[in-house]
Amino acid sequence: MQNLLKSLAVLSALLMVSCATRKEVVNLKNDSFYIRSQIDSLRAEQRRLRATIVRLTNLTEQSTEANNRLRADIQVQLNQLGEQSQILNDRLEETGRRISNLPSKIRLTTPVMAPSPDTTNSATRVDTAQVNAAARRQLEETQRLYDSAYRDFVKGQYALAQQGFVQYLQMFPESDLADNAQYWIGECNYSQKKYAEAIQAFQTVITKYPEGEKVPAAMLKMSYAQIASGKTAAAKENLAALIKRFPQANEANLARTRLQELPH
Amino acid sequence: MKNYRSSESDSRCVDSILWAFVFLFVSALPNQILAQTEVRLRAETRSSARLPIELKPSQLRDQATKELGQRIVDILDNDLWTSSVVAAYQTEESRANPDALRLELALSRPTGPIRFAVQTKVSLVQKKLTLEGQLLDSATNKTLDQKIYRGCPENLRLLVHALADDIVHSLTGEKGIAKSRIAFTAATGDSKEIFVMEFDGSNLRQATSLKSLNLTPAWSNDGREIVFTSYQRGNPDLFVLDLIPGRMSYLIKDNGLHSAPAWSPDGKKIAFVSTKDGNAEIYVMEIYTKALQRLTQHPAIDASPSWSPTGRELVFTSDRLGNPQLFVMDAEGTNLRRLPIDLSYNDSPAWSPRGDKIAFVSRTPNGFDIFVYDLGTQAVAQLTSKAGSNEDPCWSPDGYRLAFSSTRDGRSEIYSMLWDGTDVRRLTYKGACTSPAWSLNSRPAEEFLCKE
Repeated sequence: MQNLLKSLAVLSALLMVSCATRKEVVNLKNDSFYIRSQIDSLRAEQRRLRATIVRLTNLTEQSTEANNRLRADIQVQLNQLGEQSQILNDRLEETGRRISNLPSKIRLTTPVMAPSPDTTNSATRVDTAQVNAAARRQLEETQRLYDSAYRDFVKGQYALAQQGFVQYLQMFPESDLADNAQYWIGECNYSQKKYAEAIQAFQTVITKYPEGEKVPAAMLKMSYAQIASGKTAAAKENLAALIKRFPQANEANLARTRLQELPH
Repeated sequence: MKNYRSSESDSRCVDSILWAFVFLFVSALPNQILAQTEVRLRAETRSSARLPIELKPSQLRDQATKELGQRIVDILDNDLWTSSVVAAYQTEESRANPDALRLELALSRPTGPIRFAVQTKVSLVQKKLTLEGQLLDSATNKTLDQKIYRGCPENLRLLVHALADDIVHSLTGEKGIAKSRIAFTAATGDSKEIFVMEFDGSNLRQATSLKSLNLTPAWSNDGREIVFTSYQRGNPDLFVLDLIPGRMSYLIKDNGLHSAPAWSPDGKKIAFVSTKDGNAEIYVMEIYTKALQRLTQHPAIDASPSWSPTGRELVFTSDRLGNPQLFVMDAEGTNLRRLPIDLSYNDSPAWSPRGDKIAFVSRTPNGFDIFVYDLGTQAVAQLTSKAGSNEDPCWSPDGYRLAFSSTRDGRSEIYSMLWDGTDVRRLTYKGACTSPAWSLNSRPAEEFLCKE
């Protein structure tokens, strides 16, 4: 009985094993099918990737080409910029040359600007109109140079402003604003605390343009510059002279106050 | 004096200013930026005066919250837009919808392509705030400039303002205006007090509580003190208010009226009008020595002095020719000239911090309107018209904007506009606000400290 039981147990064990083996075979079949389909899809994927790579390679080539083109364009633009800046530089140089030549031209045109009374024909009238236009342009140019020097002064560019006023005086020594320009040269120096130069420039206003309206201001500022540089005695003399010469001017009142403040 | 001509067309003035901007952009940019972007820069500056920059969302560290990060970007956005030279864009949203950005660029804010970006990083550790600002090249993401600001959550606005001003300076070489403030007079009951607000009208606060008439404020150059006329003693005297301890002191108390003070650009002198010698004249007082100098000596009324940015000259109003006109004299009271402005009643001159312009008011059928006189071209441009009475112009520290009082919406309020009269913004909603005074963009160091 016991033997029978034993053999039954062995048989059932064998049966179970064979069942398992059959199941495994089915599984294996399924797996291999699955793997094959996987391989197929991978192959398809590979084909797609290969196509993509080809496309990308083309794209890269194209974009490299585009990049090169862009770089070339930029280079061209840069070159153009360089050329333009060269042109601008040349123009600037030319303008500078023209400005420095202006005084001689002005001297050349001056006699023409006062037409003689016997010029009555129409051709001369046209000439006169042209000359008048030229004179007007010149006047505008005069004013522009003066204004730009003053603009430098208000922006605190004293050295540049001084240069502008000096240039103005060289070009238009006979202009109405010549004494003003000379005064501003003094003021540019005074603003930079260059008192010796300021004193000299204000002195020029007084001696060179004695009838000019800037004389009281120049006398006052010259005295202030003298005080600032320790020349009190000279300053006192100048202030007294200012009060005596222009007793009604605002500058005389300022001078009186300053004289009182100075040590006796 | 003979050195002035009649007016010229205004358009020439506008053109030259625009080109001045362009030149400034090109000349003020750091060399490395210029080297990278020379070609595009040229095309861009022609089409627009503003330099566009992208504002990236703030990077958050430690206990910094998303709200804090967004607040920083929002304040920065507003600050940079008011600076007049750059245009800021928050592109977080526009990344999801790129067309929105393009549309904005094309329609409302005409600018070129965005080339620069600002990246902020914020951290909050035990109530100590650290704000890092980086200026980046958009194309390469390379850092062009960076700075760290430390403070407390309560002075967050000031830290961001400082960053905004540094960005503007770094990109354009111009001063920003985000740290600047505007003081003005406003009625409170029967009295008039001095009020202070930020450049855009925010953070409004009352600076005096004297229960008297307090008028015509003017800032010290360090943004710490305000000088103003006060009737506190019954007589119009000049007071100086130190904003840090909130302490007041007399500058001058004497017989007669003292008004319209103007602090010199070097901070050492105050020009003002006084009738102490019987007639309204212009005086200058040295602040530390209290030495007083009388500059004008004329039986007519001389008033409203304003310093040139170099402190070498003063523009003021005088009726010595019969009606109020603008005159310029030097800081010593001499070299007097009348500005050749072909209008009959001119007052309240304000010299631009850039030096080349003087804003003023002139009487028109509506009351007053604001005009600008160009010292280089002698051109006069009218900036306001047919919108109430517009008075008391004063310049922003970068010289691009003007603050003024206007009755265009009924009661008198403070407004600001661009130097060409465009982009008008209302800054106050109080009523009876007058005499705005715009500070420089400096703030006293104490304001950056944390309150213990």
